[in-house]
Amino acid sequence: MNEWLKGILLKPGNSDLALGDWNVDGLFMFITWLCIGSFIFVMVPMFWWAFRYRRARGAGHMAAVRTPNHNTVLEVTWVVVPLLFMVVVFFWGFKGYMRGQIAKGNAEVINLEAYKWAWEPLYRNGASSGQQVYMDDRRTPGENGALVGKRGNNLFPVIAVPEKTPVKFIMKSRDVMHSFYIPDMRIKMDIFPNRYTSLTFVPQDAGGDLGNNDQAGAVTVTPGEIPGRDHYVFCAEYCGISHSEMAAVMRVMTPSNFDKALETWGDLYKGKNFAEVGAIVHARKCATCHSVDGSKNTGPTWKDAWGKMTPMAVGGSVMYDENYTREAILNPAARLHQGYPNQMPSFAGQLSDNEILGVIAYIRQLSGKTTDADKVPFPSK
Amino acid sequence: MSSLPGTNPEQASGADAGAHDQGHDEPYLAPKATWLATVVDWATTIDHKKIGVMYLFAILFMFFLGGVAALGVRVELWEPTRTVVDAAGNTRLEGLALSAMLPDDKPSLSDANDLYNRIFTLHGLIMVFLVIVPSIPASLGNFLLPLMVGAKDVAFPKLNLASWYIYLFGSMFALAAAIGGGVETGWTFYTPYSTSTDEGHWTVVAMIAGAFILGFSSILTGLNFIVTVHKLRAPGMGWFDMPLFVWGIYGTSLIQVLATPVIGITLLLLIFERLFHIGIFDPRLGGDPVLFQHFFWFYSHPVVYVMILPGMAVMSELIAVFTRKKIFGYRAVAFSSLAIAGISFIVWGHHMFTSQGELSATIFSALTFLVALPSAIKVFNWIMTLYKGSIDLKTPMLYALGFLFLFSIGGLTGIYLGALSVDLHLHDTYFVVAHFHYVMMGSTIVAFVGAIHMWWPKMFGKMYNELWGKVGFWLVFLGFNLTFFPQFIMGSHGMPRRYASYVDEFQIYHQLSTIGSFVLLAGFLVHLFNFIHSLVAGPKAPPNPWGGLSMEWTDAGSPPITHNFHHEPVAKHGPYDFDDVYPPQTKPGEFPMPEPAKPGEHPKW
Repeated sequence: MNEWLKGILLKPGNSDLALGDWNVDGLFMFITWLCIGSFIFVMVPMFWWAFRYRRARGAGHMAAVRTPNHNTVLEVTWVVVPLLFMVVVFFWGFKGYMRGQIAKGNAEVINLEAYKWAWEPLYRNGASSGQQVYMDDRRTPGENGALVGKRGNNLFPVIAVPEKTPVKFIMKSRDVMHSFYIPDMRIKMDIFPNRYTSLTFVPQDAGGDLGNNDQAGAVTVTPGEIPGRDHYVFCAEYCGISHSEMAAVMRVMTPSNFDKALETWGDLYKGKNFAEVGAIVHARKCATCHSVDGSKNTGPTWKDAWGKMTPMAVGGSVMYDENYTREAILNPAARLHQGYPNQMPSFAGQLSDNEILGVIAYIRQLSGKTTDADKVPFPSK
Repeated sequence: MSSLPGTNPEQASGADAGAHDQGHDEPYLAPKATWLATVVDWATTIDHKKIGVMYLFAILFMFFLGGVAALGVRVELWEPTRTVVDAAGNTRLEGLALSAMLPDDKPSLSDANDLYNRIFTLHGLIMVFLVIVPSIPASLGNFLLPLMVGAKDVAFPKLNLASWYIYLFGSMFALAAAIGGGVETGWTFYTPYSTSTDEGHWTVVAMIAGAFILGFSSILTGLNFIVTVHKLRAPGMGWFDMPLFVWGIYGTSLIQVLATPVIGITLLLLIFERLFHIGIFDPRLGGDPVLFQHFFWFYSHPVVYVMILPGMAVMSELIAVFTRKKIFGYRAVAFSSLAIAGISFIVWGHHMFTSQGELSATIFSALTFLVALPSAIKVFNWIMTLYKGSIDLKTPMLYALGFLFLFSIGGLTGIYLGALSVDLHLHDTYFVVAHFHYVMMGSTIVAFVGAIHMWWPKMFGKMYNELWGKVGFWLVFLGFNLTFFPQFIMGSHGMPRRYASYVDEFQIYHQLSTIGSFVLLAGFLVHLFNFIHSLVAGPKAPPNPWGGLSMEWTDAGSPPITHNFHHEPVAKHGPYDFDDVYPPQTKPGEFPMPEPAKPGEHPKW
C-alpha cells in the first residue's frame, strides 16, 4: 500500500537523501499518511453529520438538538495530539535537512556557476561539462534514428557525479538568483551573486557501467558518450525569460566512468581547430540565447551574421566584425542589437583570448566566410 | 426592539418609513432624483454600505482580470515547447499557445516565454494585492461590521471613503503598468532580478508604486475596523457577544495595521534601488538580496493570514446560521483568530529555507508548526458545530462544507512544507502552487463566494436562485479540485513553478489542470449570471431569510436603511443563541426550534 502510493506521488530517488537514514521519502510518506488519517478523521464526521442532520425537504423541519458547546477534555486533546505529531515531523525533517547541509566524509567538491541561463560545473581538474544532450528527444525508428522533435530549442549540459561518493556542490551566481534543483536527489538550494551556498548528497546508483537506467525522460545516450544514470536538473528560482529552459542533466557515473569523463572533459579542445572550439564554447555557454539556425531568440542568431552592417538599439549600425564580437562578449551592454533586451552577462574572465577567437571563427563559419586561420589547430593545454 | 420567540418585529422592515429622520429611512440603495445625482451620491458617500458594495464590484472586476490571466497561464501550459524537425530538415517551434496574442506572426521562444512571464506575474499581482487582500474585509467587512455591532457606520466614515479612493488610485497604477507592457518580476519582486529587469522601463516602478499605495488603503481600513470594534459596539454587546465574523475581521485588521507599513517601506526601498541604485538589495552595489526576502516575507507571511482569517470569519457565520447551532467552543475560535494573528509574525522565514542559514531555518521550521494548531482548532470546532444541528444545505452552507474540505487539504499539505528536508525537495515547485491555491482560492475565495450568497439578500434586497447557486457551487468545487489536485503530484515529481515550458512527463497533469480551470470558469459564470438575474428579476428578499441572530438580520431591513437601524439596537441575546431565541423578522414557524430547556437541566451528548 505504502509502496503503491509512493510510486504515484514520488519518482524513484537516487541519493542518500531519498534512500538513506532520516530520508525525505520516508518523511514524505509519513506526512502523507498523517494527512490522509487526519483528513478522514475530519471529513467522515463532516459528511456524515451534514447528511444525517440535514433539514429534510418537505418532511417538515427537523430541529437542532441541544448539545454542550464546550468540552475541555475534547478541546485539549485535539490540540495536544496534533502537537505531538508536529514534534515528530519537525525532528525528522531537521535530521534529514542537516544531511543535505553537511558533507559526509571526504566529498568530491564540484564548483557550480549559474548564470542567465546556463549551468557551468567546474571539476577538480579544471574540467567543465564537456557533453550536451537533447531532452525529450523523439527520433525516427532504428538504431541511429534522425531527430524529429526535442524539448525547447537547445541542448542541455551533462553534470557528472560519481556513484556512492559524497558530492558537495559549492555554488555561486554570476547575475541574479537561481536555484539548483535535482528532484531525484530530493534537494535544492538557492544560488546568490554575493555569496556561496552549498548542498551535498551521496548519489546511489549509476545503473552499471552501461548506465541503462535513465530517469530523465528520453535523454538519448549517443555512442561515444560516457554513460550513467540520468536525472533532471532544473532552475527553481525565477530568473527571467529562459528560466524554464535553464535545465541540465545530472549523470550518476561509476567511479571509473567519472574519472574518464573528467579526463576527457579536461582536454576537450585536443585536436580541434578554432572553429570547432567555437562550436564547443557555443554549446556550453551561448546556446540558450543564440541560435545557429537563423531563428530569433533572447539574443540574435549567429547564422549569416558575420560581416554585415548591424542595426544598433541606440540607432546607427555597426559592422559585425572581430572587434564588435569581442566587445559584445566582454561588455555586452555597450552596444545592443536593435530589438534585443539587455540580458547578457559579461563573459570577461570566463573565456580565454583563444576561445574568443574560436567563437569568432565559428560565427564566420556559420556565415560561410571561413578563413584559413579558423582551421588552425587550437593550442590545447 | 423586543425579540421574543415567535414575534415578528415590523419596525425594521423599511415599509413604515416614518418622518422622524430626513429621508434616511429609505433603503440605502434608493436612487436619487436624477441619474447624475445618484452617481455623485455614490462617489461622495460616506455610507459604509455603499463603500462596501463599490469595493465588492471593484474586487469582482479585478478577480475577472486576474482570472483571465490565470486562464492564459493554463492555456500556455497545455503543451510544452518543442522543436520539431520535418523531413526536409527544417525546424519549427510547437506549443507556443499564447503566441497567437503576439503581433509577430513567427514568434520566437524568448518572446513567448517573456509573454508568459508577464501574464503569470499579472495574475499573481492582481489576485494578491487587488483581490484577496481586500476581498472579504473591504467589501463584506465594510458592509457588515457596523451592522453586526449595531453601529450607524464605521468609526471614521470619511477615512473609509479615503481608503476606497486610495484603493482605486493604487489600482490605476497597477492597471497602467499592466497595459503599458506589464512586468515580469513575479509578484514577489525578488531582487536582484526585479531591480535589473526591464531596465529603464517605467512599468516596474509603477507596479511597485501601485502595491505601495494599496497598502495605505489596507492600513486605513484596518485602523477603522479596530476602532469601530472597540468603540461602537451596541449597548449590551460585550467582547464575547460579538459575532465571530467581527472577531475574525478584528484579527485581520490588527495584522494589516502592524504588517503593512513594513511592505510599504520595503517597496519604497525597492523603488529607490531601481531609480537611484542605492545598493540595499543589489549585490553589485553592495546590497544583499536575502535582506529583501526577509523584509518581503515579514509582511507577506502575516498577509497570508490577512487573506485566510476573513474566510474563517465568514465560515463561523455560515455554519452557525445554517446549522442553527451555537458555534462549538466560541472562545477557542475567537482566541485562535488572535493566536493566528500573533504567530503569523514569527514564521516568515519558512518561505526561505533554501536561502538562509541552518540555524535560522531550523528555528523557523519549529515555529511554523505552531501556526497549524489554531487553524486546526477552528476546523475541529466548526465540525463539532454540525453535530445534531438542523443543517440546511443551501448554497452558502455548501460553500461552507466546501471550505472545510479544501481548507483541510490546503492546511494539511502545509505540514510537508514546514518540514525542513521535505521542503528542500518541494520548495518552488507546483506542490507549493497547489498548496497556496487550496488556501488562498479554495478557502478564501470559496468563503468569499459563499458569503456573497449569504449576504446577497441583505446587500441588495433580492433573493438569488438557489438551484443555479448550487449548480455553480458544484462546478466551482469540482473544477477547483481538478485544476489544483494534479499540481500536488507534478510538484512532488519535481515540476518547478513559473515555468513557461516543461519536460514531457508533466504534460498529463498540466492538461488535467487546464481542463479544470475551464470548469472553474464555467462555475463562476453560472454565479455571475445568477447574480445578474437576481438583481434584474429576483424576488424581494425578506429582512431575515436565513433566520440569523446577529444584528444585521434581527434589526435591519433588506436592504438596510441609510442609517442602518431605526433605533439604536440593544444586544439582548448572543449571535448564536439559536437554542433559545426565535429569529426576529421571520415568519412564525419558519425555523425549527429545539425542545425548550427544562430548568436546571444541562445538555448532554
